[in-house]
Amino acid sequence: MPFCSHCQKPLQSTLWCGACQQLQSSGLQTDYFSVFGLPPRYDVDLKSLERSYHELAAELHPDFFATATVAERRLSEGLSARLNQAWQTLQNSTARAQYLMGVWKSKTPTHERDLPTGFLQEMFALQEELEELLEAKDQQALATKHADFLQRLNDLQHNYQQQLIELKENTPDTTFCKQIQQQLNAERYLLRLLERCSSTSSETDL
Amino acid sequence: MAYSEKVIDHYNEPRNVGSFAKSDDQVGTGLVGAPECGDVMKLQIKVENEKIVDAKFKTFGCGSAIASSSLATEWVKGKTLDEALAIQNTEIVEELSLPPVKIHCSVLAEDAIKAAIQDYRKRQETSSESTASA
Repeated sequence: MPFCSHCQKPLQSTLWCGACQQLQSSGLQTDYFSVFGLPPRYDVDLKSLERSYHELAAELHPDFFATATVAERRLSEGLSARLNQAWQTLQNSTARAQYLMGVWKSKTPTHERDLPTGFLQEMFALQEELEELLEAKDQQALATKHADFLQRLNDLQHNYQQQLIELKENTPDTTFCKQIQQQLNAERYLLRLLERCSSTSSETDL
Repeated sequence: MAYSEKVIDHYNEPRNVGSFAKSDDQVGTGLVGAPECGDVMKLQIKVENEKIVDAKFKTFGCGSAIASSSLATEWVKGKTLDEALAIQNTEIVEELSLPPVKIHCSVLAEDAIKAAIQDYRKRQETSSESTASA
């Protein structure tokens, strides 16, 4: 457990000491979970996370450091930015999973570009199919594809979220990390297919 | 974001779009993807006497990914396999003036060239093995 650099009492958040009201410069480097005093786990109570976010945001706000030293004002800006990044990341279910993979990376090798066997071939084939449907402007077939992909995306997200929630260890083994990373990678490709279905033309963005 | 004229040129008029028959022994196929954005790229080479005589690509992705792979097919043509293996993504970045956020597109193109050559070489090994065992 981290301790306050001023009063040495245990810290709830690594950004700020509730006991002596001091900013913690070490908070600029600590992980996003400990910013909220949480262990690095996927299942997060979003309501209490949001509450902590607002409370901390109020304590750290640079407006309250207008008359403080330059160093303290800078620190409050830095810590506020850190808090915002932590909140943005942890409140999003996909970003939170990706962030956890990063936390585990130091302990277990990751498989950054890994995909399930044959997945890329399948994505390429599906993209080719979509291209034909887009050219033919077959709205009905596109809507069916869109529904299929959405279902598949939901199943995929549900599956890895479940795996992460049920995880018992603090640092999972390589096989587990590989499984999660593969699904997170696959998610991007599915999102891409979905985007393409709903685009009205076959034009891609530069 | 502003794109270089070269990217726009390749995007509007991509060179060497299409595909060769995968089963052709002279052909090597590289299929790669970028998990960062979900782009997929297929690059194929046709080889005669260790020299790339033709190349085709098909990319589902952003303009920079299309331009990178289009340029890659232009560059590998006429090169030996070893010369093509030496192509670096940084050369593609420079030629197309890709911004930092699009560097992964050039990496994808380099990976596609390498994957195609690897696939070609693997096919040569297996076909010579099967000839030897026949």
